[in-house]
Amino acid sequence: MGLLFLPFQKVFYSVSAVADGTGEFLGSIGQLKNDNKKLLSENQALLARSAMLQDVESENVILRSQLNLLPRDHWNLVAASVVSQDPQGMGNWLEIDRGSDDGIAVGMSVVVSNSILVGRVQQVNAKTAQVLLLTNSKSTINASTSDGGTKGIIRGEYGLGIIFDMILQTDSIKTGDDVVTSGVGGEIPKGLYVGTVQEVHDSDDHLFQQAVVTSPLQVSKLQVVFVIKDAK
Amino acid sequence: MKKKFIYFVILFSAIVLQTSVLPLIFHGRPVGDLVLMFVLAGAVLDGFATFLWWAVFAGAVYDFATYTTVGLHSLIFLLVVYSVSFFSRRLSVEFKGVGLALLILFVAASSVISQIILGWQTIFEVQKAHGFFGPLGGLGVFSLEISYNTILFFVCFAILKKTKSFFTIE
Repeated sequence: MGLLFLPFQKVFYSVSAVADGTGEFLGSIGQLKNDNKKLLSENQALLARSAMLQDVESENVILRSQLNLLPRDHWNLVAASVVSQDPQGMGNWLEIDRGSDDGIAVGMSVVVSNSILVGRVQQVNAKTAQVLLLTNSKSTINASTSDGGTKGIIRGEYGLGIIFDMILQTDSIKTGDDVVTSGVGGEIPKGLYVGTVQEVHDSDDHLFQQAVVTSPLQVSKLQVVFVIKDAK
Repeated sequence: MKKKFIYFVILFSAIVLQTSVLPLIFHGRPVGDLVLMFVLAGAVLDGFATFLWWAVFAGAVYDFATYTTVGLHSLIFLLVVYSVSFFSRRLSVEFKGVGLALLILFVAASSVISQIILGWQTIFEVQKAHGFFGPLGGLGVFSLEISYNTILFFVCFAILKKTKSFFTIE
């Protein structure tokens, strides 16, 4: 059944994405000038930070090789186009135009920009696959803060958001912390970026801490994603 | 045969638009349900007996296309078509006074039925209801969903009516 819909969904999705982008651009022309000015000053600050981070990156490569961790750019990636989304608008899943014929299997991680986690493959057909997004209530992923000190579980909230849950009361977490996959369990590679902590509060039973995590992705605008097949 | 082919093309187009166009336009909830409105419009125009099996078929195809539990949308569409059958078809196709009010009532009722059944399915899958009805079941969200569906219903109604007269379908 999916094969029947696939070619039409690809065409309509691409056209809709372009039309949506054009509409947004025309509506935002007035704001572009102010944004441009703001971005120029931000760029200067980022250039300075980039220089500092290059040193950090060199150190990171050395340390990762010492710890036998996967280098970040040594994954076999399969590029896939998004052809449809959850029709109820609950932000629960995407459908991509790659399937078992392309080596895609259930459980594979799906990313964008080589390191931002989108979700995991949940169902595979010959030519298509369904990707369960992080915001889906059935999605649970082991995660930690970027410094590795605080561990917990990332779970979705009815397609609306992401919660970093089961954080011990003794662990430290604050607004602005970056959350990445911890690699526990071996299903999802370690170090894939999930989002940034927006708010921290106690769980309902007060046994754990919970954090609301904001992803940098706008899932509804995704057109191309990458499936991590394996490490090179 | 001609009718079956044309209805299938319309259903097919509605599913493609629902999965590949509307989510990009609405960017998350609420999103109108084009396929549901097509089934409702078909039930209003053709009647319960004629459209019953189309509702079942449309639901099954929709479930296969959207990775939903097969039969869920068939159940929703069956309930919608069955509800429409309680009212006089002659009365419901008049776009005046009571007829128009009835049509809007059909849209609202079918939207609510659909969201309740889909919502319960989500709750059943994740085994919890806490936090679901707040963001997703609020009055504002439902009202917007019903508004979108009302517009989509009249579009589907007009398209189906024009299609039937153009292709001289009974």
